[in-house]
Amino acid sequence: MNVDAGVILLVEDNPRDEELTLLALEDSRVANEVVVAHDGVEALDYLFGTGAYEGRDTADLPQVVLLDLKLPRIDGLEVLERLRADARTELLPVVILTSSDEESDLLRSYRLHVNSYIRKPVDFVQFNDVVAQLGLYWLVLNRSPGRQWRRSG
Amino acid sequence: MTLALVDIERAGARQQFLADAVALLASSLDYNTTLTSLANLAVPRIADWCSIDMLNENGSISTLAVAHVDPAKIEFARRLQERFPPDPLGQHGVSHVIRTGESELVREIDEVLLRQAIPDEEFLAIIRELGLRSSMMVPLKARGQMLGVLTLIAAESGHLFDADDLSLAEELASRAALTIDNARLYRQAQRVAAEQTAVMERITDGLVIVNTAEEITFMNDMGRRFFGSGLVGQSVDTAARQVQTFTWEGRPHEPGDLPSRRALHGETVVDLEWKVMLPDVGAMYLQGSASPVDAEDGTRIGAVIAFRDVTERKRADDELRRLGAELEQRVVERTIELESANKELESFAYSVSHDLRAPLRSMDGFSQVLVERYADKFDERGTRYLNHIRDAAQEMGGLIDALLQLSRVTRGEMQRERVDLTPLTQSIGEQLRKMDPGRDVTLGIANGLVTTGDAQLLRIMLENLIGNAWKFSRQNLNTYIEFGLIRQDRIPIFFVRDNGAGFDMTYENKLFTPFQRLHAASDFEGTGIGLATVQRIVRRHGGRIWAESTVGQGSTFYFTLQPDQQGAA
Repeated sequence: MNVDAGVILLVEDNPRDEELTLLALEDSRVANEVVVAHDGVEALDYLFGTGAYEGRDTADLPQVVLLDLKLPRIDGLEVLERLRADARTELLPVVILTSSDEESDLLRSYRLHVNSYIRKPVDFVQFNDVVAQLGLYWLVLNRSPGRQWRRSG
Repeated sequence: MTLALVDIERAGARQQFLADAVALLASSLDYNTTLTSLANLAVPRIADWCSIDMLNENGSISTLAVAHVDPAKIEFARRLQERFPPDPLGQHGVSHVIRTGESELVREIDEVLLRQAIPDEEFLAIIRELGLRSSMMVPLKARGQMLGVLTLIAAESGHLFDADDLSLAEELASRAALTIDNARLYRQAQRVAAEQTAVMERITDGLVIVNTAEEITFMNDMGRRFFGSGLVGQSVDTAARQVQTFTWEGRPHEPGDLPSRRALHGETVVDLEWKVMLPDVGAMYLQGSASPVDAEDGTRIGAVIAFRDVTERKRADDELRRLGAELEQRVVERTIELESANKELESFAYSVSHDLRAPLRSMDGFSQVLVERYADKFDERGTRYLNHIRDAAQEMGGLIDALLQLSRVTRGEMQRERVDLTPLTQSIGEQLRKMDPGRDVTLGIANGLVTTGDAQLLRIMLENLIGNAWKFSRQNLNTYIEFGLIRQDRIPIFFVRDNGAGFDMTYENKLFTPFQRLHAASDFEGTGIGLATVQRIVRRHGGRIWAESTVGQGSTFYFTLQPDQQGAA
């Protein structure tokens, strides 16, 4: 697969879901490096180079963030809100990957300019399918502003 | 005394007579007696005969007084009149004067005139015998109203009445009429007053009348009952000091703020409220008004305060208000309870959605990984068991989704709008055909199935109903599904009919209970929540749903989307 070398930031607190997602990505032949953040704080630390990620080059943005909604400490919607409020990350592609299909969650996510909202199916075959399509779309087909020059630079 | 007087003497005698008559008329209000005296005064001073006839209210005429110097002749005249009652339509006499309102002077009664006036020979002979010479009849009129006739006749004296006599008679008649009229007015006024007093006494409202000097002049029975009879004749200030009244809220009334005083100043005070403490009775609530009383010419003559006992009503109102407030409070409390219950339900649903699905996904996912990647580690049985785990996880996922939908159908706000169910159902049919292309299904959807409701909920409802019809006719070679409308008592009843498996009507009451299934899962898969969802949607629209079925011949589901006489099912 002709994939961008960018990192995938997976924000997921459930270790089994994390493993399943990694498995699904693996099955979809996604070769990108996957960084896992286990809660909202960790995700923000990674993206803004704070805490455990102190000193990380914040210009090196992931190609896509797969964000769960229900997270310890800082939840997914707040993570999204902070990303959109910061000039460095306001255009970063964020895909909500969650168990919830509550109308209110959908609405709030879209109001915060989420790029996609995907409900994780219970059926693993379907889940694999979804992850494969995600990989194809966000890592292969989609073009995001600000990535081309970094890739060539 | 003779009537043959020289002019001057006559004039003086007339003046004297008139003065005597006026004095007589003024002496009493009983005009019957007065008029009889008047007739006697006239005889023999101005005539030999005098009679006074009165017009009764019913139009009949009755003789009030007859005077002659000889009482025997009076009796004779009375009997004569009984025998020969006057012709009411005659061209002469009392009834003629009453009809025309004009005086009638017959200077000389001659044979020709008598014959003309009296056709009866016998009567004529008697009259001739009386020797009547001259007559005057003048109307008794007051305020344009005919009251009767004054008749003066000259006989034995041989006097012939002239114009002077007539004018004296007319003067006398007008004085007499005035007396009659006054007496009648007085009587009428007295009667009216008596009636009014009777009415005022007996009405169940209390009345207090004060005059312009602020003295209480009248209190009716009900008024005395509340404020005591001792107040009549007292000034309102004194009365206000004696009987303490309160507002309904229990504040004492300002003694200076008297409704009667305001009314005397021309104000009509309405919605007055008094609370009075009565010994033995306790608190009484009165409601009333005070208004000025003006005479016809506009002068203020007093004020009337009217009130009624509204104690019962006030108590009922208070009770009603108390109950209302209590109910409102309870509604508020229940609403808060419900709202918090709803919030709990919502957060529960959220947890179900989020938290329960995650472990299921792990169960399914890792089982699948085992099947795919570690197939060589399992024998056929182990693989089958793994698949059982996966099936169970997926089934539970389906149940959770169905439950979530059921709760969402109950929770969400309704957006009522005009919805055409025909195209909606067509698109559901197309979806089903796409998912299940091998089936031969005829879907008959009536045109113009328009209703008012929440489009999203109605779609979920029809997806379930049409989906069920589709599912439960799977074993048919040819399937017919019909969606249409009938009307009963002008209420539209929709129906979805299929020729599928049907169900045993014994279990009809279990159809709409969540998780109740009437078919084995091996025959027809399902969560057992679809019809419960449908029923909730129907109920939220105020309608009801019921079904008819015969096993092996199909089912019909009927539903309404608005309240009917039987109420929501």
